[in-house]
Amino acid sequence: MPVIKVSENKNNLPSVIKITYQSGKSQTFKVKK
Amino acid sequence: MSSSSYGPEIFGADPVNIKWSVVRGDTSSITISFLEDDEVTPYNISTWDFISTAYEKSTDLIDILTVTKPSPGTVTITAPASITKDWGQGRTSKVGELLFDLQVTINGSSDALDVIWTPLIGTISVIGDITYLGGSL
Repeated sequence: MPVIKVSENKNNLPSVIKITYQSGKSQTFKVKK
Repeated sequence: MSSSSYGPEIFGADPVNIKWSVVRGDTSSITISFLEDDEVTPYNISTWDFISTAYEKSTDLIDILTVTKPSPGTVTITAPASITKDWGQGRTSKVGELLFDLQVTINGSSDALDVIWTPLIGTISVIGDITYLGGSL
């Protein structure tokens, strides 16, 4: 049986998004690839 | 990663979804950093164009928020007081809720090759204020 690979075309996007609020609180999110 | 699950694998858009609390009549901002794998190095966004808008369902109005690039890999979305003063109704603890997002245009070699990406969506929860510098409401 063949292997089926499905991939999303997100190679030109950053890996991580970090949100920082006025209070200084921040959260980091991984961009799903 | 290999998988042989019985349920559907989920692909497609997966924007960061946040709740942004804003006091009506205040200036409020959030900063978004786009980073490489090491979570430190700024991603090159120098040629990217950004736009952010907020939508209030009760009034069916769309406000354009201010987006700036204060440093490499970073954008700041600001909701100025001149806009937030009109958000929500009444004088309760929570006076309104808006939808907002941040949209990026990654410029290609032609308009047809531009890539549109929405990395951030969310709700703006509007906290009621009492004090109003502009006079009576």
